[in-house]
Amino acid sequence: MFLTKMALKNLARNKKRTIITALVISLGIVIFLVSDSLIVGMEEISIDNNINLLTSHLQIMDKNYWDNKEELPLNNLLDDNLLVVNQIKEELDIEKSTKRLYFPANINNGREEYPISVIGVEVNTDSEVFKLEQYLLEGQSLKNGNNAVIGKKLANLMGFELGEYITLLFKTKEGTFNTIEAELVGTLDTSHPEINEYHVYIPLQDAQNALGLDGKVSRYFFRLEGKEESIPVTNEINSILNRKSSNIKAYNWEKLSEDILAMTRQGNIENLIMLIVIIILAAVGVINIVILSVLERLEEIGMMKALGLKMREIVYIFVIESAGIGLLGSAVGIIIGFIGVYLLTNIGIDVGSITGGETTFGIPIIDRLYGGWRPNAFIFIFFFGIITSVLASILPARWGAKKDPVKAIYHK
Amino acid sequence: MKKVILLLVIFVFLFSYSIFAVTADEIIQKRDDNEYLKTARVESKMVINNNNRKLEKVMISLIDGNKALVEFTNPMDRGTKFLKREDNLWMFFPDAEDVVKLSGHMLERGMMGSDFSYKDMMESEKLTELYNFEIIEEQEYQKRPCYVIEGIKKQGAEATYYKRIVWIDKERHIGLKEELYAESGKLLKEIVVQEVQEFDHRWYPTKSVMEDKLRENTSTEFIIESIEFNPEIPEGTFSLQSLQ
Amino acid sequence: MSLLKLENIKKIYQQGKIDVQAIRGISLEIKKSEFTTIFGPSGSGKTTLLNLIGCLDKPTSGEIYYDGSKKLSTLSKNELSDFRRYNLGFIFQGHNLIPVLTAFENVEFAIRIINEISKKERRKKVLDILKSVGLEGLEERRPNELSGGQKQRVAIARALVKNPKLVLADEPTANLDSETSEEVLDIMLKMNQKLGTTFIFSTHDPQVMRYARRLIEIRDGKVTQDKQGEDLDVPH
Repeated sequence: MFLTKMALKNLARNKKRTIITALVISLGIVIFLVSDSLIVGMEEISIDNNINLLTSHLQIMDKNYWDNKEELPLNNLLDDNLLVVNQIKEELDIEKSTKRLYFPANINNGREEYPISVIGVEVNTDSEVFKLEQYLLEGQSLKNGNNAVIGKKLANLMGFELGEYITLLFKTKEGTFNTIEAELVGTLDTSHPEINEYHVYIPLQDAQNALGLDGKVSRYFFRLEGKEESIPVTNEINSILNRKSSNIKAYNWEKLSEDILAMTRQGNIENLIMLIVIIILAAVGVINIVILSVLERLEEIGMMKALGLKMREIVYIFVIESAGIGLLGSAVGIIIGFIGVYLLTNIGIDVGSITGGETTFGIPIIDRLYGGWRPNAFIFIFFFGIITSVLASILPARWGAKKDPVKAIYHK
Repeated sequence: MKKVILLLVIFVFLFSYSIFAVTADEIIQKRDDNEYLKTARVESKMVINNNNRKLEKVMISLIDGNKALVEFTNPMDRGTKFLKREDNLWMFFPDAEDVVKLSGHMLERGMMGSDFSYKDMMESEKLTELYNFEIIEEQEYQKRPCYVIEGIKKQGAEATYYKRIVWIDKERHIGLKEELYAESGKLLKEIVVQEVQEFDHRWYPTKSVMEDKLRENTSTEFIIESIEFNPEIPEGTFSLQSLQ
Repeated sequence: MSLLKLENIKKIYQQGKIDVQAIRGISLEIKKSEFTTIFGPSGSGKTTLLNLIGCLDKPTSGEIYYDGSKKLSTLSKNELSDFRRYNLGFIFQGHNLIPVLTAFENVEFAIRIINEISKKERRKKVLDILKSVGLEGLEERRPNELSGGQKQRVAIARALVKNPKLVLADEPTANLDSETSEEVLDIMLKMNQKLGTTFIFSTHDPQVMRYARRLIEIRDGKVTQDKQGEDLDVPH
């Protein structure tokens, strides 16, 4: 306790140096907190985008379809007028739903082929659930009849202009080639690269006809009041479905957004890089300050050894001193970080002009990016700053404590 | 007399009907039997034309029933091998020194960048089981008398093409031209035989060209340089070990 | 009664490739409560000898016995630390006080790390010793608020507060003017008489020698004179 008190008093010996080192640590912590907030914000956006453009709040599909859904299979489909869906909508008071039929195809412009996903959408209900219309770049949205809407990037890639006919080549369930020729009526420029490059939307009826799958769809989609509702509603739907002991199951957006959650993992890698930056900043600062202190206090170290202090007690003094710097730096960092994150979440930053509307970090982005809160990040980084300081101080402190007391006392 | 005439008419009608009905399948079967190599060693060449770019691939194939081993010998692909056994296809890449089993979507890609898909090379079911064939015309084609036969996929049959129209040489039992259609009626591929040759009292197409009708300026020529019938095939040739 | 016995102590320093013999074989015996002055010019080996006695350094050969039997050469680093902590007091040329601690805390340091007595007792002890070195009323001052002599008195108090068997003082008056030097030596002598603490201090200042009760002269790492009592020719 006495040594601890003394170590903390030592912090005041060279105030300037202590403050600068602490501020370096604070800087690292602010960078971490701000970037973490941005990552949380980006996750938020990409989740919303995902819901609006790809997954909706919840879907129902055949359990076996779920297992192979990435391949867009043509078996384990659902009837397109399932009674249970009407029952669910009535019982749970859900108004907005639609259905789609997915299948893989090659898009062909007479010179090249490119593999894409075709989505047969129910023209009059799709926009109740999905927000594709908001991202229409040219032309108009899908209508009934022989027409298609595709991503702008895909259109550019294949050289399609509005009004031209696109050719889709695919196989029916029986493995027989079939083609669809549809007039391109609109192009999409969404914040989702997958849609821009790989999706072709055609009317559900055309898809069903061409595949020989009349009255079949891959999945049903529902829009709820908010995304928080999706888990309870999914559970309720599943209990209704279980009652019917059907092979159909409901899945919420979280379950459907596994790729986005993978992005989160990538975000964590960015956090890891930030952490390494902080470690380096803090470690360099702390090592530097401990070495300087040791050199300055050689006589004192010698005297303390003469008084009978053991090596580990002298190490302890320096380590506690560094912990103090870490504590100071972390505390200041957290306060500034808090302000930064507060501004980020409330005011946001204009990224449209920075990125030119393109995507960054592989995550879809809108014009203004808002940060998000993650209280755990604050708690974590607070202790992280202190622990890093402590760990960084151990080696130079040992170096100091090892000094020969005679040389330490008489070093002049 | 009337009765006799009626009988004759009925008989002729039935006879001709049955002749025609049976003949379409028979003609196809005969062509397939003729073009089917039971045991052979074939040296062949594939010329892939894609928008003025030309790729040549040379290969040696060993065939025994429904097993086949193909090895490429042109510099770019030297050492690449395919092994087909029944419905399975494996590929060996010398660069990766690895054997890969091709399945699913991979089988629909063009083989080695050609217009033949792996699936085209793999079809082993009898065509007459998949399609209802009908003679639609008799016609002279490439100065040879030909049957023009149209096959429509049978209901529920798992065939890649919905419709095929074949020009078959009446005497030599070779398909001189074949058109392959999608269910929508769109012509997808066209194969035209450009050269034929007689081996062992048996006519065989030695040069054919396949065009992908959905893509301009692409075609694949398939040229047979030599065929050795009933060669000696060492045991174990069609094993996975022989791929490496 | 013998407190300390040195047996043919040698200390060789390696200076580059040359071996420097700092102590060339010293045998000595110090009795309890002696007030011993080690006298010699700069570089004669006084400081080295004090460091060896204070277990801050280890002799190249020879043995040091405490209390008749304890061999210092057999102790580990940690044991030596403990030995110093409980038995020895040091006073250095420089005061070596910790600048962030008050006079009181600097003295308290020495017994704080022993931790055997209650806070109250400790406080009393520290205040008593500070009083006896004449620093009453200055307990809460930091070193930079004290004069040179006062600082050295704090250092003396720090060395004495734990009632050590032996206090080693290396040139305790070196940085002080003559008046202050005498004050400091007076205090040391007073403490020697009052508490019976054994003192060994080194000096090169003939002025200071008159405080000696036993005078050991060292030159070139060897004892050249060892006189006490009437043999001392300096007046007391």
